[in-house]
Amino acid sequence: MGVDVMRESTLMWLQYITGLAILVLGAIHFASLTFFQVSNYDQALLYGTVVGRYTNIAWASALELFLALLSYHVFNGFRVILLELRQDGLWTKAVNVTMFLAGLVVLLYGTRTIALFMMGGGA
Amino acid sequence: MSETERMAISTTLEGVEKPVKTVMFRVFRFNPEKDEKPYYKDYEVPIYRFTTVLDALLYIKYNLDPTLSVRYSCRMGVCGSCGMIINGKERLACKTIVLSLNSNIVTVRPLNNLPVVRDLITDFTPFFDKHKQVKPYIIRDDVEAHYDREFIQSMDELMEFMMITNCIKCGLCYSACPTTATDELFLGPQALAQAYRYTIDTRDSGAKERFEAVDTNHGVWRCHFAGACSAVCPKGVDPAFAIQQLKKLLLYRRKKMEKRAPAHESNKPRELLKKVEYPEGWPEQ
Ligand code: HEM
Ligand code: SF4
Ligand code: FES
Repeated sequence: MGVDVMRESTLMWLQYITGLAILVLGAIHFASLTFFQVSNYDQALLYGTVVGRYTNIAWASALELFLALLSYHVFNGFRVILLELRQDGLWTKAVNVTMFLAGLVVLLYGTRTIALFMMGGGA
Repeated sequence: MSETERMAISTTLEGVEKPVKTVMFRVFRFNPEKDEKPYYKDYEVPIYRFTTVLDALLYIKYNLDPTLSVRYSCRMGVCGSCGMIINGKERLACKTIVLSLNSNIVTVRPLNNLPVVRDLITDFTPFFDKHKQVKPYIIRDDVEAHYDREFIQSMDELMEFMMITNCIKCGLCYSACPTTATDELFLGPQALAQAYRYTIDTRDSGAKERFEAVDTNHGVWRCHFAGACSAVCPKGVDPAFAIQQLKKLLLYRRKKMEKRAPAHESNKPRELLKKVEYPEGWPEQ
C-alpha cells in the first residue's frame, strides 16, 4: 500500500521538507488575512470577500499547496506517533494504510472545497 | 604497607580508615519465583571515602542479606555489567562513589526497558539482539585474504568514529531512551551508534546492508533527539550525535556510501606478525 513501498528515509525527508514549507506558507497565510489585508480585518471573513479571494488563481493555488503539504505532514506525523505507541505486525500495517487513506480523503475533500469556491462558491 | 605509610595515607586522606557516615540503601528486590511484585528493602551501610555503590551492594550481600542479586565483573568501569539506576539516574555502580551522590538515602533499582531477571539484574537479550541486527563488524569481501596486513586508514578517518568505539555495551543509554520506553522494536541508541561507527569506518563496505537494517519503521527515524543517551553514557560516547550523523548519511550520502570502495590494505606485512613463528604446516604468507 502506498506508504509501504517508500523508504522510511524518504517519508521522513518529506516530513521535514513539508514541516518547513507549512511553517512558511502558514505564516504567509496568516499575514495575508491580517497585516496585508487591504480592507478592514473584520471584513476579511465576509462571504463575498472569501469568494473573491478564492477566485484569485494565485490564492487558490497557494491554498491547495498548503493543503497538500499539511495533509502529508499531519498524517505522516500521526503515523509516526502511532507506530511508537504499539508494536505488532497488524498494527503497523493498519496504521500505515489508515493514515495514508485518511490523508488522501482530507486532501480530496479540501481540493473539492477549494475548486468549488474558485468557481464562484456553492449555494 | 608499613605503619608510616599507613599513617601518611590516613592523615592526608580522611575517611579511609574509618567510615565517614552511614548511608541508607533502598534496594529494589524482586525474585520472580517467590515474589508477586517488586518491593524496596532498606539496608544501612557504613560508607568510607572511596566506597562505590557496588562496594556497598556487596557489603549488603556479604554482611546483611546474602540473597541480594547483583551482576558485576571488572569493578572498574570496563565490562559494562553493573549498570543500574542510582538515585534516579543510570550509572555504573562500580564507578559511582557513594559520597559523590551527596545523599543519605541511596535508591538503587534495575535498568529500565529490559526485563528483570532478579533484583538488580536485567536480561540483556533484546539489547544484544538489536546490536546484532545492525551488523556491528567490518564488512568486506577480502577480510580473510591477508590476515597479516592492515587496512590503510588515516588518523582523521579514525577520529571520525573513535569516540564511538569506547562503547562497553552497558545499556545505560538504552535504559534512558524515551523512545525505547514506548517502542519496544526501536533499535535504540547503542545499536544505532554502532551502525554509524561501522558504516563511516573507511575499512568497511557494508553500508547497504546496514542501511537496510536501520532505515525501517522502528529504526533510526524513531530517534527524536531527546539526548538522554548521551547524558548518561559512562564512556563519553555521544549516541545522539551519531544517530543524527547516520540520518545525514541516509539523506545525503546514501548512494556514495553504498558504492564506496573499502580502504585498501598495506603492502607490508604487520611488524608484529613478522616475528611470529608459524606452526608447522601453516600456509606460506
Ligand atoms: C497535527 C499536526 C502535526 C503533527 C501530527 C506533526 C507531526 C510531526 C512529526 C511526527 C514530526 C517529526 C519529528 C521527529 O521525527 O522528531 C514533525 C516535524 C516537524 N513539524 Fe510537524 N506535525 C504537525 C503539525 C505541524 C505544523 C502545523 C507545523 C508548522 C507550522 C509543523 C512543523 C514541523 C517542522 C518544522 C518539523 C521538522 C522539525 C522536527 O523534526 O522537529 N508541524 N511533525
Ligand atoms: S553508548 Fe555508552 S551508555 Fe550506551 S551502551 Fe555504550 S557505553 Fe553504555
Ligand atoms: S563491574 Fe564492570 S563496569 Fe562495573
